[in-house]
Amino acid sequence: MIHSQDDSDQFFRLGPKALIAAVSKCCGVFVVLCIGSLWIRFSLGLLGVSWDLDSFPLIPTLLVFFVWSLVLTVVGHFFRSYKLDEQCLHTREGVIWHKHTAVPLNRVQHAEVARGPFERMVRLATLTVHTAGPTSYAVDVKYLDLDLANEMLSKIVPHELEQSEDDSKTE
Amino acid sequence: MIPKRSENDAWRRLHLTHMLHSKWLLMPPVGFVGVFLFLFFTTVPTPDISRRFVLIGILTFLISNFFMYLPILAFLLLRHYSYRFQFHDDRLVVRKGLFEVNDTVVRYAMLHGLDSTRSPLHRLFGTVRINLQTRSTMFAEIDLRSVRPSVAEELSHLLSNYQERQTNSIVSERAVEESDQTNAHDGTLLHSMSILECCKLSFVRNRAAVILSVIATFFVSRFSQLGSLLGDSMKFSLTVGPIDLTFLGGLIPWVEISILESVETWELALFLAIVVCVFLVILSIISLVLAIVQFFKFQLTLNDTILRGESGLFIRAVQNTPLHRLQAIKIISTIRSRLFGRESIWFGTSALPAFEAQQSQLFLLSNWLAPLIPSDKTREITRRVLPPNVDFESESWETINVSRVWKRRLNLHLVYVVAFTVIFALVSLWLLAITVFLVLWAVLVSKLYARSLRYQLLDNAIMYRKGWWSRSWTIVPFDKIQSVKLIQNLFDRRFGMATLNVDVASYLPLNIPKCMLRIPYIQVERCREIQNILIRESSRRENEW
Repeated sequence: MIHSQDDSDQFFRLGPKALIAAVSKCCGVFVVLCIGSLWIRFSLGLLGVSWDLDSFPLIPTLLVFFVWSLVLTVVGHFFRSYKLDEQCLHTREGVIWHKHTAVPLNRVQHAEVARGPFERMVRLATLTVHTAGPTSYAVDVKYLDLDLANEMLSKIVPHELEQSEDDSKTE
Repeated sequence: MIPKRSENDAWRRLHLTHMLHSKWLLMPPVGFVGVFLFLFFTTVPTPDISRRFVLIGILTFLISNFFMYLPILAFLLLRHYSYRFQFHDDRLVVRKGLFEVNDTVVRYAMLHGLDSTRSPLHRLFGTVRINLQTRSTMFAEIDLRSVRPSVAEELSHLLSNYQERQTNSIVSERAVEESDQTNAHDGTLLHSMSILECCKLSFVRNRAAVILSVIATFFVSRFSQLGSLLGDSMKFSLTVGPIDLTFLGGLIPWVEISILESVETWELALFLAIVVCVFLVILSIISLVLAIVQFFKFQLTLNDTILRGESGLFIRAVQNTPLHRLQAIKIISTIRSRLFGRESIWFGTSALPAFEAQQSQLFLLSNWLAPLIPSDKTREITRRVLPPNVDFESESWETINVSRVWKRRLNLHLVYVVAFTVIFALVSLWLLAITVFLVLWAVLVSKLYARSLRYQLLDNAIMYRKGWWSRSWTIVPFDKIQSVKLIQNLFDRRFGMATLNVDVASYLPLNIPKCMLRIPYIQVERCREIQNILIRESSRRENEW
């Protein structure tokens, strides 16, 4: 079971696989940044362009940002939770600024499930819900189990035809 | 994910020619031209280099383009095979992305616009481009860059079938709106503005001061950089009253002011007073002209469900807004408007993503329901345009915990006070005396602000009032709420407070997003209660677009 239930308010926290994916993504971004920075420096060296950056501690600076983002990622993981009920999708996130966003399901314009390379490794996905509000045009639930994300997607964007058929049968 | 499957469920791909529309194809030549120009301007020309430059350039262009197009073509092909879409009876599903795979599901019921375009390339290959938009952003969410016309016809057919089943379809809604708008010329006159009201408005909204301040700031900032260089190019002096003006010409003119030695103090004071008066008169005249040009013969009429605003001297701007498009209403009362016993009413609509709506709003400026209106008429107009059962004059306001909030607010002001104190101390220790007044002012302002905050939950709307110098009342009907967000920062958690953001589908002109309702400093338990109430009530109500 990927989610453990928070008994206090029925919110679901993300499991260890989500933490692995988040940390992997953080490490991946760091590696890409390091390689990109070194490649740019090497290319400038080949062209004979000197911008007085040789003395700049590039890798240590990136390392500091990496450690900072890693700490935020790990701590932020424990502050992230979600809840989907009959009426509404709730998300909670934020380490310094705690944010609890609630989106009524009948206000959802469209929804999407995205799977990045690191999420595909551990079979996770990110569910994004779009509303017409300027500040809540995209509400994310990151690092969900893929099956759960699809299940939530079909609940958030219901099948109207099936529903209408079901309604007519019950009538 | 999609349990019900029909004959339309098979994944489809875009027409292969959509790759020709990609901007990536322009990168190699553009990149090469950039590198060529860089080398051209940075290399010292010698006879040998200049002779060989063109040949080497052409050769490099061909080789580099060949090697750059290979990965680009590979990327475009991969992207082509990763972009797929499905048509269902009630929805459209799009799967896209190479590294990050996105499955986007759009219900036909939520479609706000469908555009089909054909560029010369489309016409050459017999294809068509389809943009599908929901109301989530102003940009197209689904962009089928190149599909066969048969696919477009199939989508159109599916949409028609869907709309036949839905009573509240897009087409019927638009048809109703169009027919309403054509008949919207006659109706009940809610408010009109005379020239005298425009004069008052020019005083209330002194926009000339803002414009002149911006121009003055621009000149001062520019002169600080270029004045010393340009000042000596042209120079002439002029004596006006007790002062000597020296005009420094150049690209950016500047004036140096010096006082004549033989002038008495009272003469100088009198002259400065006259200058200030003349300046104020000029400001007033500019503001008056701007107000008349924009709001000349402003008229607001209501015809059943269509609100029609009309104003303008040179360009007569007309804006028809269906009442159900109104997302929120804000009543603004500034200290200057209260001098005349007037208020202003602003409304937010959900119609801005449409480009025609943008254009009309640019002329009518900021969706003013009434730029200036007597306070006693405000309630009447607001009641007419709001949904029924919104008891606007109800007095069951809930106040926040004033004693805690003013202390919380004081923390914020004290940060500024400390910053100013440090600056004063660096300039002169005598200036530290001002700090005492700043602290007293911060305490006073915090207390007044805390006392001004209040809100109330009505039967089908939430109202919020804030401000003591400039006051505002915001009303958001429950059926217009898009999301409700509760935010707590470190200070909020220390004081047990939270901020409630209620998001509605409302934009300012020029697509600047605007969160219409933001209630700060509510006790966290009460904030959660309100959030639950708002979500429950908005879930019960369907938003009529």
